[in-house]
Amino acid sequence: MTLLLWTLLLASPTQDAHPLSLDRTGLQWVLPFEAARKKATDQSRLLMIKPVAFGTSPEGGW
Amino acid sequence: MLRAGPFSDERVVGLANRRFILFYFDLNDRGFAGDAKARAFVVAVKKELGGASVPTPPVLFMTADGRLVGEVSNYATEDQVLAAMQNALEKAPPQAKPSAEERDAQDPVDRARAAMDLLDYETANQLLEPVDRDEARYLQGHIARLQKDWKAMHAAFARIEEPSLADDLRMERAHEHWDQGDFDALLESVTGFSPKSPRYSESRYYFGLALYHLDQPAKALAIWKSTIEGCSQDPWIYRSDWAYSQAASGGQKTRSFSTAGGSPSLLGRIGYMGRQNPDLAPRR
Repeated sequence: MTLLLWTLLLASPTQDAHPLSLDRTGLQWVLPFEAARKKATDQSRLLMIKPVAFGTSPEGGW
Repeated sequence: MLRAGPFSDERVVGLANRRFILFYFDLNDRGFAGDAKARAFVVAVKKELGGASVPTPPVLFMTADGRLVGEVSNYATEDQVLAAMQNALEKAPPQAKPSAEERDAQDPVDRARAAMDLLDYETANQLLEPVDRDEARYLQGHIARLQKDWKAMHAAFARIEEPSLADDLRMERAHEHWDQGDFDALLESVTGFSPKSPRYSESRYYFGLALYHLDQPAKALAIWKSTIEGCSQDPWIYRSDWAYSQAASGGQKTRSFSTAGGSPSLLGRIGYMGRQNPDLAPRR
C-alpha cells in the first residue's frame, strides 16, 4: 500500500506545480521566476516571458 | 488574451514546450502573479515596462542571464508568434539544441512527434512512413491537415482501422470544410459529438462557427454559451469565449474586456481582447 501511495504521488503531474501555473492551454508554465530562470539555466533553454499589465487572478487567470 | 489565440494553437504549444521555459508575471508586484525579481529582470531590457502606465507588453524571448533575443506583439497572429519563436531560436543556437530525451528516443513515432512539434514536417513524415501502426498514419494525416494538404490527409486516414480514433478522424476531416468555407458540410460533420469525446469542445466551437457563417448568429451564440458553461476550460473554450464575446458585442472591435462595466466574457476574463477573432471574419 505504501509503495502504491508513493507511486501515485510521484506520478501526479501537479505535485510540484505552482498554483498560478495551472492552465488548460497545454503550455507548461514555470513559476515563480527564480524557478523558471533556474530551469532555463539548467536545461539551456530560452525564457519565453509574458508580462501581464491588466491583472492576474489566484486561479492563474490573466 | 493570448490564451484565446496563439497560446492555444497546438503548433505554438508544441514548439514552446519543446524549446522554451514559459513564464508569466504581473507587472504589478501586488498582483497575484506579481514578481519583483521578474519585473526587474524584464525592465532592465525593456525600460518602458517599468513605469506606472505601460504599453501592452509583448512576449519576450530572453536568455537566463538577461539578454533579450526577440519579442512579439501581444496582438500577433499564430503564425507571427511561431515565426518570432523560430527567429529567437536561430539567434540562440546553444538554447535550441535537442533535449537528452529527444536524443535518446528510439521509437520513430516519438521522434516524429518531436519533429512535428519543431515544425519539421518533412522529417516527421520520413520517420512515420515506414511505421505500420495506426498512430503513425494518424500523425501523418494530422500533419497533412496542418499543412492543408487534404489529399495526403485523406490518404493517410483511409489506412486507419482503429475504432477509438473515429472522433479524431471526423474532426480532422471537418477542418477541410472549414478551410474551404463549406459551412453546410462543416455543420453536418461536427454534429453529434458525444460530450465524452476528447474533440467535443472543438466540435462545438466549429458547430457555432458554421451557424454564425450561415447567418444564424443567435444560434451560434447559444451553442458557444452552453459549451463554455458546460465544459472544463480548454483551448477551444477560450476560443469559444473569444468568439462569443465578440459576437455578443455585435461584432464590434472590442479591445477592452475589463470585468468592470459588464464584460461580455462568460469566463470573466481579465484584461483585453487584442485583435478580433479571425474566425468570425467574412469567409465568402
